[in-house]
Amino acid sequence: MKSPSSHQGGTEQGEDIEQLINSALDQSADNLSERVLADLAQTRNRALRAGHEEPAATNFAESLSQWIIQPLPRVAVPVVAVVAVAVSLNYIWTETIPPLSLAMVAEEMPTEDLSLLEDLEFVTWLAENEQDMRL
Amino acid sequence: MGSMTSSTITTREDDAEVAPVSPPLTMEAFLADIEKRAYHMAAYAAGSHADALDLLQDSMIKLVTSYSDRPPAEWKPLFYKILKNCIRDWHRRQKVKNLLFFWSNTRADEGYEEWPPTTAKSDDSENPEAEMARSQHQAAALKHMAQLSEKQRQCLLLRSWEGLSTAQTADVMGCSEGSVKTHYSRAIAKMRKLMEVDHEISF
Repeated sequence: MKSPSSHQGGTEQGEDIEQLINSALDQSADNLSERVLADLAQTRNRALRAGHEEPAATNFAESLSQWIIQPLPRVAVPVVAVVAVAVSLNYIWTETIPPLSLAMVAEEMPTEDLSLLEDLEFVTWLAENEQDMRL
Repeated sequence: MGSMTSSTITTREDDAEVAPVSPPLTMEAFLADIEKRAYHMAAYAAGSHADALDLLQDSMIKLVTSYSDRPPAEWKPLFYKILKNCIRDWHRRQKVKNLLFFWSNTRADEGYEEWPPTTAKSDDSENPEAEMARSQHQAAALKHMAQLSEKQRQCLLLRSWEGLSTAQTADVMGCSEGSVKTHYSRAIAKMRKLMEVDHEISF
């Protein structure tokens, strides 16, 4: 079967199908609308910008992800995390507050206050003694 | 084979012999050179302008961020490999999206534009009738390209239009050279059949 254009001396029939496809695609690429060309240029510029910006942002993430999948960190990180949580939950504060030196107290506190404190200590001692005797 | 009229990058050996020494290709020049052909491949696969641009942008970003340090001669196969993977991932996402949101029409967005364009452009020439017939055949060829399977179309575009070798096409498509030859011959046969049926043309 021949196309009607063959009778008009057209060259289309003689062309191979590949050439027809390529010429059609070339034609289509050459005749892209202004809007498509603008969008393509924008897309290209975005990609080029991303190429300049991306490395700084991805280097840390990449290096972290590379480090975390190493055998030692993969075991050590969870172990350290569990130990840290266990210690923080079970740790008891045993260290007592150091007493103030008597010299400093004597120098800075008034004499009346010091005698009052001594009386208070004596009353507390008496009360403790009475409690012990009752028991 | 290998219509490279708009391309400055070529794999032909005879061109390499006569070509003068040119400055090293920049990434920007490479992308500008390849973007129209890559856009066609993406648009055929996605069927819309907006999705094609997304695919193109993702591919370009991946190439620029990961492979800028590679020799420029490797950029083309690498880029098409990335684009092919992006297209495959896009199809998978679309499949999941269609399963999850089967009741909604995902093509109803404003940026959607049918691909390939149905109108044929005709240049002014001395023989307007022949030119018109030629334009119609070209438009038909573009339309029939959409009826090829994804692999057949990619193979045809890479081998015939982009001018990649069988080995390079096989590498890009992730299949054997034998498969490339099979896809290519089937694509040509199907296109020939569609053109013959549609326009009563014999090749």
